[in-house]
Order: sequence, then C-alpha cells, then structure tokens
Amino acid sequence: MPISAMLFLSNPLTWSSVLSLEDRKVIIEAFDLGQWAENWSYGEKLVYSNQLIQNFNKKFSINFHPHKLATFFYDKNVIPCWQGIGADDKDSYLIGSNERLRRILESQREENRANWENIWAIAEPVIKTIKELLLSAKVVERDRIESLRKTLPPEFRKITDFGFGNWGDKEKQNKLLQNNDFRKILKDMELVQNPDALHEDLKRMLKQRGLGVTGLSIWVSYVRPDMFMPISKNVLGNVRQTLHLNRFWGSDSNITEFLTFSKGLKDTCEVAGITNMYEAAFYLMKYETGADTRATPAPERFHHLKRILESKKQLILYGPVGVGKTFTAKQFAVWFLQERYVEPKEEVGRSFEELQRRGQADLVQFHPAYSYEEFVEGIRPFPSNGGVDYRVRPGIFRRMCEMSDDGLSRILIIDEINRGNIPKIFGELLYALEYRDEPVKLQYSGADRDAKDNQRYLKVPSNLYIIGTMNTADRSIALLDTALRRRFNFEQLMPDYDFLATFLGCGPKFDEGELKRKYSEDNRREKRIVILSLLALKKLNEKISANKKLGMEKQIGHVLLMRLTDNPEKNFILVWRHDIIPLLEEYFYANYDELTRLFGDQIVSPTSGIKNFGIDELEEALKKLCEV
Amino acid sequence: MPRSEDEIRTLVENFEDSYEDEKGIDVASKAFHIFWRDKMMNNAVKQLKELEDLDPIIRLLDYNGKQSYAFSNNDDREALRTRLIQSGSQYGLTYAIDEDNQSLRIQRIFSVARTMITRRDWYTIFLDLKANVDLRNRLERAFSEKDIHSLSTQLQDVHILNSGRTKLTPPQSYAYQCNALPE
Repeated sequence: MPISAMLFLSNPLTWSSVLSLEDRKVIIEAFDLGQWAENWSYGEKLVYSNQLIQNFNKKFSINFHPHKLATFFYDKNVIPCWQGIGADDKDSYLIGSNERLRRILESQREENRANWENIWAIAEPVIKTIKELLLSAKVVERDRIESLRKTLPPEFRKITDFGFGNWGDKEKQNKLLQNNDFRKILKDMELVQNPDALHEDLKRMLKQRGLGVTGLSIWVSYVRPDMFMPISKNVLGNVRQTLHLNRFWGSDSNITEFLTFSKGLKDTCEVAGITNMYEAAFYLMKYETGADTRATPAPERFHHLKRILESKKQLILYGPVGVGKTFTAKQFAVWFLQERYVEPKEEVGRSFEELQRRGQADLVQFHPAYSYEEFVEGIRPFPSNGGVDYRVRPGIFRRMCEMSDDGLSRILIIDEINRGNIPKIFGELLYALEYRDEPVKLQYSGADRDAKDNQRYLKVPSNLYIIGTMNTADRSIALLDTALRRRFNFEQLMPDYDFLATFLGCGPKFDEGELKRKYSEDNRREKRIVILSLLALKKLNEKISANKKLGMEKQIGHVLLMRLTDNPEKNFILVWRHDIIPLLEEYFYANYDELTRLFGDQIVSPTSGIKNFGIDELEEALKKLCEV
Repeated sequence: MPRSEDEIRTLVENFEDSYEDEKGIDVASKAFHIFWRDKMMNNAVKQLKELEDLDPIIRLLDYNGKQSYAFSNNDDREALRTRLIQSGSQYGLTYAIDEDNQSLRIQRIFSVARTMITRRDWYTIFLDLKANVDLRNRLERAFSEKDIHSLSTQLQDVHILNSGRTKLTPPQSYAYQCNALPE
C-alpha cells in the first residue's frame, strides 16, 4: 500500500516518502550518495535509503526538505518520470527510461530465454500465417485469425491479447479487416524502413471505430515484429508505469507517441541483443507479472485438471503440506472460467478475488464444527415486531446453486474438505452432486408447507463446479468416505522442484549436479543458501518418503521455501527453524533421535529438541544432509 | 547520460523559484493527523464514509483524488456544496469550490504524490485499516517513531503483517509505481 504517502503526512519534515524504492536506488547510485544494500529488509530499505537521499542536499549545498527533493527529481525530469522510452530528448535526461528498460530486458532474458525459444518455435509459423492472411488473402475474417491465435502457446497468446473488449466485437473487427485502406497500410508497412513514413496513414486508421493504439499495435506487430511491439494490456498493463509510458494511458489516439516509443524500444532492444519485439514483449510480461506468473502452474497442467473436473464436475486436489493446493485451485478457477466464458473475457474476473466479487466463484473452508446449516441452509432467528421470527437462511452452497441458474459456469472451492464431516455437511445433496439438475427436497425448506416448490427443492446445476483441497499429511485419502470418493475425481499435487528452482532463480529446472556446481562456485552467500535449501528439501523429502513411519504424504511442500526470494539470509533461518524442522518434529511425534540423525546435533539435541542455531550451523547441517 | 554537477546545480537553482508546495504541506499534515486521531483511531467511529471522511484525505495523499462531484438540481447542488465544505473544514481545510457543467469542483490545494492507484484502492486501504486493529496500531506507532532503526523495524512488521493480503496490498505490479512506495 502507499504507506509512504501517509508516513509523509504524519511527519513531513523528516520523511521523504514520495520516491519509489526503484527510483531511490537509481538516484543513490547515480549521484554516489552512499551504499544501497540489497539485503536490507523492506523496512530498512524505506528508512535507510531515505537517509542516503538526504546526502543529495550535502552534495549540492542545498537544504531541500523531502517533498521538495522528490518533486525536484520527478517533476523536473532529473528522473524522467513522465517521459519515457524513445522520448526525443532522451539523452538529456540524467537517468533515462531506456536504460532502465535495457536492464529489465537483459535480466529477464537471462532468466527466461530458453522458455522464450520454445514458445517462439511454436508461435513463429502461426504468426507467419496470420501475416500472409493479412497481406494476401482477399477476405480475412476475424474468426479465422482467432482460430489461428488459439493454436498459439497460451503465454504468447497473452502477448497479443486485446484485453479491452473490442476484439470481442466481431462486426467491428470484420469491418476493419475488410477495410481496404487498413489492408493497404499493412502492405506498405511490410517494406517500410522508417515507420515515420506511415505516420499520416496510421493516424487515419485510428479514426476507425473500435481501433485504438493498443489494437493497432497488435495488428502491425503481425506484419513487422521486428519493428512494433504489441502494447497489449498483459504486456504493458502496469509496466507502462514502470517505464513511465503514461502518455499511452487515456490517450489512445496519439500515434506520434506510439511511433516514438516504438523507435526507442527498437533501439534499446538492439542494445540488449533482441531483434524480435515479441521477445521483448514476452520479457516485459514476465517482468510485470513477476512472482505471480512464475508461481502459476504450467497451463498443460490446467488442461489436464480441466478434463478431470469436467468429467465429474467435482475434483479434489490432495497432497502434503505446502504444495500450493489452495493456490493452484484459485489460479485454476480463474483460468478455467476464462476458458469457458465466451468473449468478451473481461466479464470474467482476472483474479480469484475479482471472481468472488462478481459472484463467479467462492471459497469456503471446512472445519470439524462446520455444518449443513451453514453450507446448505439453516434456520436463523430474525427480529420481527419486537419478537423473534425464525426463517430459513440459505448457505453458501445453496446460494451458488441458485445463482448458477443463469447458465454461466461457477466454481466453489472447498478448502480443507476432509476436515469437515462431509456426509453431515452435504446431507441429501451428496446424492445431487452425482445426479446434477435433478431436484432434491431440502431438509428445512422441504418441510415448509408454505414454501414454493423452487424453494423446497434444490438442483445442483451442471454448470457449478466444485474443487476441494485436502491435506494428506492429516489423513490419507484411503480413509475417506466411499460415497465421497465415488463422486469426486482426485488429483495429487507433490513438491515441484522444477518450479521452485525457477522461482528461486536457480535455473530453468531442478538439476542436482548443476545446482551442486553452482553452490560450490558461487561466492554470494545469499545465493548459496538458496541453492542449498533447494537441494536439502529434495533430499529431505526422499528420506521422508522412504521412511515407513512417514511416507510420501508427509513430504515438505515447495511453497515453504518460496519465502527465500525475499531477504534470503534472514528467511533461511526462519524457514528452517520455524517451519520445516518443527513440522518434522510433529511428524516424528517429538522423537528427537530421528531429527538429530537428519540434521545433526548442532541443530537438534536428542534430549532437549531443536536448538537455537545460527546460519553457519544450519548451512553445515544442510551440506551434510545433501552431501555437498 | 549523467549531467554534470554544474548542470544539476543550475537545475537546483531554477527549481527554487518554481516549487510552490511549501505552504500546503503543513495544512495537509495537520488535516491528516486530525483524520488519523478522530476517524481512524477513534473506536466510536465505526464506519468511514467516502465523501465525508475519506475523500479529503485521499485528495491530500494523491494528486488523482476525486475533485468533481455531480449534482442534479439546485437543491442538490447546495446540499452537496455544504457537505463538501464540511468535509474539509472538519480537518481544518478550506475549500474553494467552482461550478462546472452540473458538477462542483474543489480547487486543488496540495497533494503529496501521484500514487497511480485507483481511488477505489484508496478506499479499500482505509476501510481495511479501520477493520484491522493490529495493522493500524502498528502504523500509529510508526507515525510517531523518531528513532530510524526502530522505525525500520516497525515498517518491516507492517510489511510482514500486510504481505499476502491482496486486498490491502496492491498486486506485485504496483510495486514500481512512480511516486509511491511499494506496499
């Protein structure tokens, strides 16, 4: 949250507040104002960088208070906040956006190049076909383009996703595609060396209904991917703020800005060794979505989940602690509903929270005291004429069933489904889960003679999907009620080391030999302990799986180590000392001999339990564990 | 392309004359303190209203705070004018109000930053802070902390408490907005 603006008003003369952390770092480095430390905590970064920024006053013998300093940097273009990539006078700025863009592209390229090459190998022929269609076909239909786009890898498709709704308007798009003027500009574009030559033509095109700079950028990128990047919402939705591209915001008709931006982008990409603007778009999308995208399971997995969810309409994701069951369920819900809805897609929430707000999905957590009365319906007292009246109040499940009467798909996630007493909670609706669309008489409303039929009976509609999550460290699925087992499909989630390796920046997949080599060669402690934790988790899980008392269902999930991306040295101790080892302590029923065998007596004493160990002891213990 | 120190010095000197926010800061800060004490920390105030309680403060925090309010007829206009004036005066803010095309527009006084988050996000932040006693108490402590090392610890605590709470914390992509710090 923009805490800094509030902090500024609470204490304006001592608090700098209105410079972003990214910009502070840039200023501190550019003016040599002191040492910025990446391993500072968030709080330290806020406070200590503020101290360093004050050194600017000393350096230039001035006495600007914090707000004045920030305004100086931003509004006077010392940091070109409101200009950006390709601005004509870019070189006159102290710290150009182009430089920042180059850094982003280079770092993302280092991390995601292999991934991009795989995607481009599939996408390139499709893009070529679209280009040929646009340039040569007599008639181009929007649906033809869309059917080709559907064959693109999902991440690539996102790059060229209009995202604003006008793609959903078939009529407008067909009109545009059949506009001779538009097609001529695309043809001219194929040969042009300097896009400025098309300035007037493009400007004219923008007067077409339903076409803004965003849409235009996508069309022209099909023809000249070496020159134009699609400025789709997914690529620049928020990055345009990072790159200070606010001029595109709300000024979709500004073709001059678009051309200037495109030239600047191309120049910067060349410096970064990138000649394909789709590649740049891919990296920017990766950068923008950051951890969110990296934390999203592979879409192939979603296709698999979709198949099994659709077969029985209900699915349970099960697995050990920390494998991201709830997270996967939420991400999948968003993806699944996006897939099922006909366009325009923007009618479906883009995040689970948005789905909840729009009534398209919801989440409920079962626990031992959770009841039918809360889930389906119960009798509740209501104040009435000074007394109390008792009425039937629908629970979350009934509400979702009734809402789904509109025919649109909805998802209910039941978190920790096995912690509730399922037959008791579902009651007669356990039957209805199997026989969808058949009315079932409800326990309370059913007995109400005054109620109408549609209130006494409930159908579980076929467009309501249920996803449960279940922690197998608590209870094996073999012990589940057979009635439930029959009605749900089950999908196991296990620790995902490849994903974790990517997430932690240790390479595209988990490669033990490669990780061990990196560990021995890297001098940076913060990197070494991340690699070591990754190796140790895998080794630990192998030992847990082989242990007859524990078994694979008690493995430690990869999610626990994801905190290591932030302040690794501090979280290294926290994660192992307060999450992983205590979990094992519980699994071993506080049998410390077993823990000592795993971690050594510097970490766990056979008699007094987990010790208060330091980073050195932990590193040594994990090295022994994974034989580094 | 770094500029020379001389060039920066010239920029600094020119800037001296153009900076005009000096007076506004003090008034804005006092208003924020009143808001925080009387509305946010006052348990007798159960709900914060957008126009009356929050808009004046959001306008101070964010350049893109709401300035215009539509009205439909003369009676409506006068009632709205009164509400707006009162919303500012309770915090010691004096508004000059223009009328423009069936709407009343508050003349700008001072805004801390362009935070690039929506007004709806600001409302969410404040409503969430009101509901989350622990979080607002920690912020209260941070607001009055003078020691920078303790302040960094307190801000880190707020950060940890806030992390993963998507309604209060804007998504990752906001972490690099201009003029606003992440989270």
